[in-house]
Amino acid sequence: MNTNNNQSTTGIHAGGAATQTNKPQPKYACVVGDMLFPMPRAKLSALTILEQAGYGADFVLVRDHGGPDDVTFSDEQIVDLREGNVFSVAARCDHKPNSQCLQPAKLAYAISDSWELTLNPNQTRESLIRLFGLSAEVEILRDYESPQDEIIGHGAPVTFNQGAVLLVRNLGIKVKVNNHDVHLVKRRVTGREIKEAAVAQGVAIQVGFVLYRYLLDGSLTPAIGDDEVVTVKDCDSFNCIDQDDVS
Amino acid sequence: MSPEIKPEVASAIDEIRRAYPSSEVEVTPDPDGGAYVKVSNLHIGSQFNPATSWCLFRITFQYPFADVYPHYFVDGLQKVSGEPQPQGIHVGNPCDVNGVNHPATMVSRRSNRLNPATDTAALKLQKVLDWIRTQ
Amino acid sequence: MKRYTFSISKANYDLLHKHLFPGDGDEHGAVILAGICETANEVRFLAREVILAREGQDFVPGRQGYRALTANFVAHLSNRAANEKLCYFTVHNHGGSDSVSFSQTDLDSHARGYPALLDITNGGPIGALVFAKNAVAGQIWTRDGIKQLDQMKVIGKNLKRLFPKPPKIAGINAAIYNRQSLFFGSVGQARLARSKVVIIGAGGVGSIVSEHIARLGVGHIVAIDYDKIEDSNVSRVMGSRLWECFSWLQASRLPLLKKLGIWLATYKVDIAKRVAKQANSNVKFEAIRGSICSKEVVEKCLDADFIFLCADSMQSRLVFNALVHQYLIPGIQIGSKVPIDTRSGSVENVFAVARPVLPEASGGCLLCNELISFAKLQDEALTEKQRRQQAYVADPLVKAPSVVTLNALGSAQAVNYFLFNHLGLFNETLAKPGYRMNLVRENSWTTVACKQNPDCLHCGSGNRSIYGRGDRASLPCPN
Repeated sequence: MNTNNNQSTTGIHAGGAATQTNKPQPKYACVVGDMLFPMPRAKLSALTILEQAGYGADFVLVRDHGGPDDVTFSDEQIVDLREGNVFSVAARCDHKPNSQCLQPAKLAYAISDSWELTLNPNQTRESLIRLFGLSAEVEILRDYESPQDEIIGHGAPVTFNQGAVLLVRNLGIKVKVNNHDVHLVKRRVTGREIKEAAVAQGVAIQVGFVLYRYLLDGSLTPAIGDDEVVTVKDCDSFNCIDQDDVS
Repeated sequence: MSPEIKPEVASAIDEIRRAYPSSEVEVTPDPDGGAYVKVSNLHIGSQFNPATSWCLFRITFQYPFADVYPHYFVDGLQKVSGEPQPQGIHVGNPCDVNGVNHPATMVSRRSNRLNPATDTAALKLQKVLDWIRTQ
Repeated sequence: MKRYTFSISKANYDLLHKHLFPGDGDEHGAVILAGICETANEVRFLAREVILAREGQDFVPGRQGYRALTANFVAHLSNRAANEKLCYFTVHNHGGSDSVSFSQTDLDSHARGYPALLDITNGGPIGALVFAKNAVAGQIWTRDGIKQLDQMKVIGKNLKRLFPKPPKIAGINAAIYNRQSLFFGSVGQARLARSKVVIIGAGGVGSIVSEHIARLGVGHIVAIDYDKIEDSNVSRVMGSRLWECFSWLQASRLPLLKKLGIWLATYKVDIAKRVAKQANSNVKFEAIRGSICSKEVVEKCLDADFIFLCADSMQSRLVFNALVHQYLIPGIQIGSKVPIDTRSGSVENVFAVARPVLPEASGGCLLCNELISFAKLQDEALTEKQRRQQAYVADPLVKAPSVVTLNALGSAQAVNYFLFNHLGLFNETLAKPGYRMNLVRENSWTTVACKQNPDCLHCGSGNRSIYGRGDRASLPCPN
């Protein structure tokens, strides 16, 4: 695994040649089978990607172009994540080899472990805010090894091949869970994400508790499922409790 | 610092404000937790001069268990026809607000069968207005 | 260290008990929403509403225990508790009869979920109760830590006490109580010694009540009256002496001597204290020179075990009725009347009465039974000047007739009611509902049934009712 630091940085850049540079290297990630996995560099073998995503020898890697002609890779083939980082897998015995596709590959931008798909490699700070449903007040940073994370200014481009793994901070979304303030990283969140954030921020609940949202009249919605996506706004209030076991 | 109005009295005042949105509602707390309430710009009937008046009354701290009465209107209320005042209307009967007399005409309509669960100060004011408009 | 107790009306207790012990030997669940009364020595929870958990819907097989109250049930009721500023208590039952305790599963569930409930209810307190047939244990969660329930009191015609296990009570065997202890035992005597009783009004009726309960051995008496003795009271106020009225000074034409006479006259509550101490030198007697209508005075009554209303005003009736229902304290209103026809001067039906008021439906609520005149109540709030301006027509100088023997009729009835209620001596199957009125001129007693208005703001169950809210609602006292 490459390490990036100020003094001496070795990394694989465009073209694949290893160079020494003082510029911090962006982080990379890919989506395999709807899950996000960090990757050590932009170019790596299909087998490496499969292994990092936890798939065994029975599977081949397929880049998602959204059509019937998705590109499949042999194990030793080098995959450039900057050309598309959204993949699926296919059973080795079933796959039909295909090395080319006219459709553009899907691209996954990742911000603080959430990811969204797009076909547009030329995003800006503002377009990413809209894509992820973030508050306009957030800071988005290109995720290098901290403290080298780089703030992306207003209107600045965020092109895919310069690194699509980003961070966000100074979120403006503050909700309440059991009367405690909880800061959320995005507007569209699952029930589980709300609970996880609340637990991480010291609210006395467990992720297995049941979540409800307060309505304006003080009553509660039906329970919000762990995978149910809700859109939150500032000052939303949630109630999170457990059933009461007796014996 | 003005004395605190009891929550039940405050709720009664809120209801009056909602019931008379085009009137100004002035509130003067009394020392016990009740309040004197003055509702302006009420039509009391063209048979009276003036036809429009304010109405001032006290909601005591015992509300809703105490009746709200009497009600006071502008001083010198007269029938346009010159007829004598109907029974229950007392001209020149001032209203004492925290020890200070305010010239007024007193209308005394006691509720004989008060139901604290349903009879509110707003409802009582409406009943008094309905009565005076028919005099 | 503060005691933590729970008061519940008999009606609510019976509803709960029937649900928890239907005869199937199984576990069942419920929630109680409760008000709270905090005083220097005690935190008292007041059962305002019992919500039964439906089998298979609200009370289901548990994940980590035998059964569980569902998250939906807990969420909605704890939310209601937060909105209504009430305390949330989970209830379930175990087997057994005279002792009970929480299982480890129960305690683990509390540890897991109750911090969240404390947050949701803005600091609660919240807690749990577990019942056996004749026992209850409780765990109370507060921001200051976890407390244990000392006892539960079931307020009905007979006061019933429940504990986690049978308490050891040392009886009182003093010679002065020997004859009455033959009736209710040394333990009963000890219970009287530990009781706190409030007497509103220390005049003709209140002074009799005060002496009687002091002689019974009640340990803590609070007597409230703002009045001083006058010569016209001496025929009725127990232990009063003509000389302490200083009426000869008050009759003086010199204003200074008149004022001196008024100043020197003894307060009625001080006379009551003197008499009580003569009867029982161990009694803790608080003689409060003031009005029950004052906030500072009423706060001394909130942890009482029983209240005697021996005063006349509508305002004192309103406050008494509020105390009974808001703080779940049983009480009794005493009166006698000698009505005189103002035209003919003839004496009409003379009666003496003691009206028990219990905090439950048809418990004798003074509002439901039209014993509080709203017109007189409003008049009592006016100044003299305001009454004159409103042409208030009453007869302020005319006092109603009052006779010591008639006062004694009602007082004795009332004190007996307290004794039987407090020590659980009533025969519940035979004791008649309502109250008894002595029609003296007819030499007869009549039973008067009690009415109930379900919308009543004191004893009803509606949202606006103060029933069981304790400190979380305001009392009808001036600021």
